[in-house]
Amino acid sequence: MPSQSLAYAVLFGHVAFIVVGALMTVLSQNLVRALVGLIMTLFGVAGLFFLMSAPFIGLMQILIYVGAVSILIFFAIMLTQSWSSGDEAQGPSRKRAVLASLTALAPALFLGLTIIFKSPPSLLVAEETEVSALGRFLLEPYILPFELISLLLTVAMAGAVILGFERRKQR
Amino acid sequence: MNPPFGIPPELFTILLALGLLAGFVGLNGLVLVYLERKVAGHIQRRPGPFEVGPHGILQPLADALKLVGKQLITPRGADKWLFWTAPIISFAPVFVLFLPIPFGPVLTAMEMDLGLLLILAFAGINVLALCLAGWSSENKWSLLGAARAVAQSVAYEIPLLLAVLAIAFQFGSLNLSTIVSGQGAWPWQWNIMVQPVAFFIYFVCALAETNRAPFDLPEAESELTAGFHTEYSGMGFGIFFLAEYANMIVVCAVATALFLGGWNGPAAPGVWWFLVKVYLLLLVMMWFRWTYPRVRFDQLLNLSWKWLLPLALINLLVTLVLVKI
Amino acid sequence: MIFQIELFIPELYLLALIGGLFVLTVGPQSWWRFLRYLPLAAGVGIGVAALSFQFSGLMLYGAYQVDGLSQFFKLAIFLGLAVTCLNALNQPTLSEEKRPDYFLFLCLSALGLMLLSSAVELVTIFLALELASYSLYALIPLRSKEPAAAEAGIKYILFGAVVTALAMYGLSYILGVHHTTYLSELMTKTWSWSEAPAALIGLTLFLGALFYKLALFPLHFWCPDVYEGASNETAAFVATLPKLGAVVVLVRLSTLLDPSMEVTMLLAVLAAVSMTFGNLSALVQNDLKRLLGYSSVSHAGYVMLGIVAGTAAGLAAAAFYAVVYLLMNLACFWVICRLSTDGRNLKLDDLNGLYQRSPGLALVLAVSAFALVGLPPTAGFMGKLFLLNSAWMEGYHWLVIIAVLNSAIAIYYYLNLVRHAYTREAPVTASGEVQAVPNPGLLWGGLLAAAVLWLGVAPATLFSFAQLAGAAAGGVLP
Repeated sequence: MPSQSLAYAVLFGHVAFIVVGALMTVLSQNLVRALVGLIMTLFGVAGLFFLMSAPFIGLMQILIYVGAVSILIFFAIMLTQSWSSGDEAQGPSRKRAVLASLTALAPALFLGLTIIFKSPPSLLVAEETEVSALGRFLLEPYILPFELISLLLTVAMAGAVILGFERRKQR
Repeated sequence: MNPPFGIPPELFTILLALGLLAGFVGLNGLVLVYLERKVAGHIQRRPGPFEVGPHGILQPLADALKLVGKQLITPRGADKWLFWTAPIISFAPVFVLFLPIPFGPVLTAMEMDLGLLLILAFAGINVLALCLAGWSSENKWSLLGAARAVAQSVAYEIPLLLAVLAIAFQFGSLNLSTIVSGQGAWPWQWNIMVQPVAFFIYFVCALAETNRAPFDLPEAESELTAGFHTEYSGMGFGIFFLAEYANMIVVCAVATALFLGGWNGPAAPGVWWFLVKVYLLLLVMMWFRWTYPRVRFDQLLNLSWKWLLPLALINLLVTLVLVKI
Repeated sequence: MIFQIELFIPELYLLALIGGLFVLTVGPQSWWRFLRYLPLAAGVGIGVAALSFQFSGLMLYGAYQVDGLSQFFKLAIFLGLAVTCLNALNQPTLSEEKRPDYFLFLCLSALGLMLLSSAVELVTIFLALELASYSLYALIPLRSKEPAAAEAGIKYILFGAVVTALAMYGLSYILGVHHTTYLSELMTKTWSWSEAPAALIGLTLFLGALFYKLALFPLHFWCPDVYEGASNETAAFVATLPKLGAVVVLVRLSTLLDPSMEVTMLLAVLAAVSMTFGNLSALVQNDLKRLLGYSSVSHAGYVMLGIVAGTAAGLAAAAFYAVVYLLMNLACFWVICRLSTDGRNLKLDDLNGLYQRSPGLALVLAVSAFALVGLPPTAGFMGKLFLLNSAWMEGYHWLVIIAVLNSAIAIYYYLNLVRHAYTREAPVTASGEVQAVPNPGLLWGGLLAAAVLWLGVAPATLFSFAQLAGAAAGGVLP
């Protein structure tokens, strides 16, 4: 079926994009290039959401991760000083590289094989959910987590302020 | 119109629209360059470009030819790969941005329910390009420009989203066509009468997001040479330039659709009214540029975090309450 | 039933406390003297939680369950909060301008744990756990002039972030296979390896987040370093209260774990390794907080006995032991904090001659050390007895034998504390006098020790509540 092979081509195109981005993130010597790789990955994931008929999530992924989070990471990178003579600048020793790739591969193989041979039953056709339905979903069965997140963000922000700032001297 | 070669009709529409949009963006770039220089000239009581063609009307073409013909230089020490990716990243989202904009009752490249969100999501990519350009140039002015671009865009994106969200709540939709058809023909039936605060916040933030004066700190000529694009020559610079103008059109088009009734007008509704309104807004932007001095960086951030953000939140809250009643 | 305010009273009370503390943090410094009433306010919370014991119900679309189990743990959390606040009131290593913030985060962390004790929906559990941890991430580096504290904070955050990511990943597997995050619905699904391996992997990864909090074996490595780096008072909190939260969620999740399942076996093995590893490592420690860190690794293993057993009696034993652990560890840390007047880390030798310098504190230390070993007549003995009993009944004989052997190992290093306190001579000053411990806070330390003893002699008072809790966990979710 040509349409099915086209679908596979699109899917694996996205997957390849994501994997290339991820490899770039991990292997790049340069922090900014690594960030670009990360952004590629995030973009590819957004594309996957589109493929799964979840354009809202996909667009949110772009808006939040590409438009905001990676920009903040960029800012953090610009504030740091990169040392060309630090420990991290040396490439990993061969032994460590082998061990690291084994460590990365083992769970991937394990999980991948599990999923391939015991794939859980899934809905074959993804249906697009309306945004209003998503909203109702968040505000009804998941109202408590939804509200907890705001508390959590407040705590995270306050914590960062406490650790980062010196309180001004009281006059 | 039947699409040739058996292409699916939706795809054909989008391809056709992309082709037309490319022409539109290019043409607009030329027109806006001319307009900008003329407006600047007349505001400063001088005629502006006058030599090439009658009243200098061919000046932008000459500029464009000059830009195309120039040598592309990669500075020594620059990260070559990122350096040349940056202009592409800056320009690529422009096409996506135009897709959901309702130019006329039927003249919409891609009718989609999440159109507004699509524009907001892809508009955020531009700042990434500025960052990459500034960082990869290996030049302190460029880097400073990039740092400013980040702080500025992060600060102004939030009130902008909140202002737009108020409109989305009011209409219960993120589809720009729905929002446009919800407004009437006459100016007092437009959204700007209902949501003046949102319009004000939106427009100020849009100025900042497109790095237009008085918020043009990322490229502040008098301090940073040319900010993030200091090192770009020829079409490298040209693409940034074109992307900036395209972004200006996008924010004005969105403002027109959200607040100024879109293609609605007192007589003969259609694409004309849309373009007239967009160009009026563009002229206002240029007018601002030659009227207000550039703000200081602390003023810029204070304006957003201390005034626009709370104002946008209050506006959103009031909208919510009114919508619920 | 979406929302019933009377079910929410303990949480609302704590929220009101947090609101008050927030006002203090932004208010003028002259208001900060109110901080000294905080332990009292937290103590009132014990009463509030005790009064709410009679309530039960399911709220917020079935995501929040108030029952015997949750109220039991809320009471314990208020108890722990009151003691740690009292303990930290005159913290020597906390810079003056950050005092209200410190207590604000203590209370926020406790709030997260309270929500955790009632959450019966995986996303809520996850977020409540994060709320409890985020506050700790901010607390741990708050130790002035101590680079080790920053190191400890970074370690805790980074490892915590990785574990969090794994838990979220696991949650996505569970959601993908079973299409729900509500425990009441997850109960009815299959969790066996042969039928739904992905769900089992997801559950294991999700449990990882709890093991991290509990410092169970494969995710224990942060524990000694963080205790060592954090100030004594912060360590007293980190070592005790988060364990309560982890235990309560494990008790809730244990209803998913059938004794015949692979994951239960995995938990049993982890419990055994955790006990052995923790105890063997503690043998060679010289720093008191590191020693207690490894001791808490081994105690995490003991608590798992009850969870693995999975019966109502086992869950009740786990709940009881969690509270006993809280009391005896708080008593131990109380002694450490009083001894370390300048806030430095104590070595074993710093305990030398404690019986001369402060006989009362030496007694408190002895009681808590005996309890940690699990010797009668302390609460530690009774707690361990209940745990071993429940595991033995369920046929985990090998696990019980390992646990008993481990207790024998533990005697050596816990009683080493007592040996240092009672048989070594105190250092003398130039004038030949023994320096007494200033401000030993004997009243509260004594009360803690008395509670440990009392629960050892008459465990029924608390254990009947714990049985209610265990029955609630086993009963509502059959």
